[in-house]
Parts: sequence; structure tokens; C-alpha cells
Amino acid sequence: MDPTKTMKIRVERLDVKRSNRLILKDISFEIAGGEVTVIVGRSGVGKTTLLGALNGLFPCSAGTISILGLGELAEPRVLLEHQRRLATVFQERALIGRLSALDNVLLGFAGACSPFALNPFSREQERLAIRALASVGLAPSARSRVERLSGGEQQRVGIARALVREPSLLLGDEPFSSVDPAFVRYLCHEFRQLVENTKLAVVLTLHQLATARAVADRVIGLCEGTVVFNGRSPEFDASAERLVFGT
Amino acid sequence: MNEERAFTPVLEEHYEQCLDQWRRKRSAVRYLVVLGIVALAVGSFGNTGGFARDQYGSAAATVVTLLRDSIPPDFSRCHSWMRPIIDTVLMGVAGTLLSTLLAIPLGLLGARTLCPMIVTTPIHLLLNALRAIPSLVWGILFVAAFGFGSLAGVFALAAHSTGMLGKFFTELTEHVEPGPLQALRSEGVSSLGVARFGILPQLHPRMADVSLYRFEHNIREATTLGAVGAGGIGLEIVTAFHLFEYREALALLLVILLLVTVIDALGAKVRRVFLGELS
Repeated sequence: MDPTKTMKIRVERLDVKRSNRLILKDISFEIAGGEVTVIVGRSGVGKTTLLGALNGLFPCSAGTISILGLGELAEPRVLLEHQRRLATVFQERALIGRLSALDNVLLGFAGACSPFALNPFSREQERLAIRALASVGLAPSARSRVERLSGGEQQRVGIARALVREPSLLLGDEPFSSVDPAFVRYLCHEFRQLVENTKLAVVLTLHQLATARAVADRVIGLCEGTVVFNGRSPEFDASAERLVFGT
Repeated sequence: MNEERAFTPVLEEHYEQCLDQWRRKRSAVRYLVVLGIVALAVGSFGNTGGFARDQYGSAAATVVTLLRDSIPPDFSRCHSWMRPIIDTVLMGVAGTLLSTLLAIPLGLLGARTLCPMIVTTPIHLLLNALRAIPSLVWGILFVAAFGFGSLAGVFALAAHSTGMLGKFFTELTEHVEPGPLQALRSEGVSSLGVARFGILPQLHPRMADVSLYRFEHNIREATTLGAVGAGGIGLEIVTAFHLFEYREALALLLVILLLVTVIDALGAKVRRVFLGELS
């Protein structure tokens, strides 16, 4: 991976509104390349919104998100360059059901292809897409329509679609929610390997706390739209858990 | 169980009352809707003379006479129908292709989920105008512009079909899964790229389905366009009727029935392929 693509993101005093409701309030933290950051919190607390702010889908209503070496996300030029370097695994798998797994993974290259080309994807991109599918154990299903795959398999196609972009920031909104536990362990191991080898920055929202502790370098706990915990994974103990989940 | 989520007897009683209320409201609405439809049907039929007995006096006898006069069908001039039949089919093909090509960008630009109102409103007005004028009227206009023949028919079919297909494509576009589009946008893909890689792959089986349906419709429509001089088999039928050649007119109607049935069957097969039922 290109070392200049190593990511560092600073979020400062961020507020995000959706449908005129303040979802995130006064959020500040940093994300570094070579680290897995896991965001935890109860449903509806704003985890998905926070990922949306990081990938530029939801604009900040106050505060800033700065990308090291690029500038602030509020600038359209910075936002576009940042978006080209990132990939997101969405909670509602952003796949097109009637296309094959391979065609869906190829959509990861859409930004680099001409919308007018009859065959927009190159042979090399197809080779990379197959390799990404193989990394999630789905190369044999490359030609299967995504709508005919199981929920867990679809989620793995979503992960392959993100990985094929070779991003410097990988965002995942509950990326393992439908994947079986054995494969979650395997994917966590793969993610860690990838992070160590490529200095990729990974930000995941997870509801399985055991998985979160296993994969995370840093845990950020959200409660009522604000950060109530931000520390190294081993520091996320029972008292931190109570702080975040209020139980 | 968490206390705040417990379904207590008080809550249960409250929801029992709510359910009764919703049920009463729902049945009242259903009765009103059925009553409204019946009143509308009776009113419109009555006001167009549907209940006037004298209207039905000689109708049955005339129909029987017409049928008797047209049996057996007369195919003796069938060799001269080949060219008009081919013209009719070609008018349908060209008119449908032209309208599909025009309706794709208009459909995308008309989608309220994609474009601002300043773009969608004029597109909707244009599509409404194209649709509001029937193909037969478009036919009269284009015959005046291009003269007698199939070309006027092609444009007549294309004009009305663009209005219809554009409206369908707009609605299809507004109902695509938003997830894939959001994913592409989050990766900095341009609006054109989102349309090409996110919307069209979701839409094109449906677009092909609607366009094929329109093609079948256009073939039927093309048979009537001949009546206003826009070419095709329609002119032969009108001429046969004008000359009181009812046996030849019946033969022509049977030929059209066969043509439309074959096209419908082929269309259904192609549609199944597009919708992935055969794959």
C-alpha cells in the first residue's frame, strides 16, 4: 500500500443533525492508520450516523473532521479525495440483489470507470475482485446472484466489495451481524493482519462486545449521542460497559 | 425483563381499546371506499346512457347482421397485405425503440429522489403533455408534417410512448433500493456514475419489461394509425369497411389477431428472460 495514504483523522467537537434532530453532540476523537477502532453503544445512539459523518454522507452541523495531509472534510475537494480513499461495509448491505457477487464487488471500482463504457471494468479489476471474494471464502460463488446467497454470504460480499478498493480507511457498520461465529473469528484475524500489513485505519460499529474486545485496539463508547468512553481495548472493562450501556 | 419494556395489565387494557378503535375506523373506511366505487360506476354508466332502454333497441340485430355479412372471411387479397403488415411491425419496433431511448434520460431526470424540483417539474409537465395527446392525434399531426406513410406513424407512436415510458421509468427510479446508491456516493462516485452503476442495473429488467409491454401495445396501436394515413394494415381495414367488404375486413382482423398473439407470446418469452425466470 502507498505509505502516503496512511490515514489520520481528527474529529473535533462534532455535532450531526438528521431530520432536524441532533443525533451526535460534541464528539471528539482521533483515528490512526494501523489501528482498529470499535464504536459501541445501544441501538439508536448514533453509531451509524457517526460512520456516515466519517464517510461524508451526513454533513456536520458543527465542529470539524480533518484528514491529515488533506484538510477539512467540509471542503468539497477534500471530501471527494477522502471518499476515493475509503470504503464502507453498510449495515443494510448496499448490494444489488440481481447482480452476481463478482459484479457487486466490481462496483467498488465504479468511481474509476467511465459511466459510458459498455464494459466498464478491466480484466485486471476482475482479477482483483475474484481475489477479494476469495479472501472472504466466496470465490466459488462469484457468478451467483447475490439475492440467492444467504445473509451471512451477502455480508461477506459486502466486505469483499469494500476490501477490493484497497482503502486507507475502512468503515464497517455491524459488518459481522449475520456472519457465523467461526467466520467472524476468521474475518477478525484477517482484518488484524490487513491492518498490521497495510497500516489501514479501520472503524467498526459492533454490538457483540466479545468480538469488539478481540478485534479492537481502541474502543469508543457512545451514550445519548456523546462519547462516554474512549480508551485502549483492555481498558474497556465492566465499569466502562456500564457507563456505555447503563446496565 | 427490563421494567420499562414490560407489558403491564394497564398497558394491555390500553392497547385493547386502541385495537377496537383502529378496527372500527378501518371498517368504516372500507365501507365508504366500496360505496364510493359502486356510486361512481352507477353514476358514470347512467350518465352515458347505459340505462336507457331505447339505446339497446336495434343494437343486437345490427351486430348479428354485420357478423352474418362477414362470414366466411375473405383472404383472396392476402398477397397485398404483406407489405402493410411488415410496415405495421416496423412502425411498432422503431416507435418503441425511439421512445425507450428518449424515456431513459427523461425518467432519470424526472425522479424526485434524484433531481431537484426545478428539474423534475418541467420533465413531469413534458411527460404529461406527451401522454395526454393520444397516438391517433399525434398521427394526424405528423401526417400533416411528414405526409402519408409509416414515418408519421413511427413518430406518433414514439411521442405518446415517450410520455408513458418516461412516467413508468420515473416511478421505477424513485423506487430503487437506496443502499447501493448511498454506497457509491460515499465513495465519491459522480451522479452519472451512480445512475450508471447503481440505478440502471437495478432497473433494466423492469425497463425492458415495460418497454416490451409497450411494444406489444404499439403494434396494436399501429394497426389503427393507418386510419389517419400513417401507414400499415389499419388503412386496409378502414378501406374494407368503407367499401362494405365485411368479409375482407374480418379476414384482416383475424390476421391482426394472429400477429398480436404471436408478438405477445414472443414478448412474454423475452420478458421472462429479462426478469431472470429462465436463468
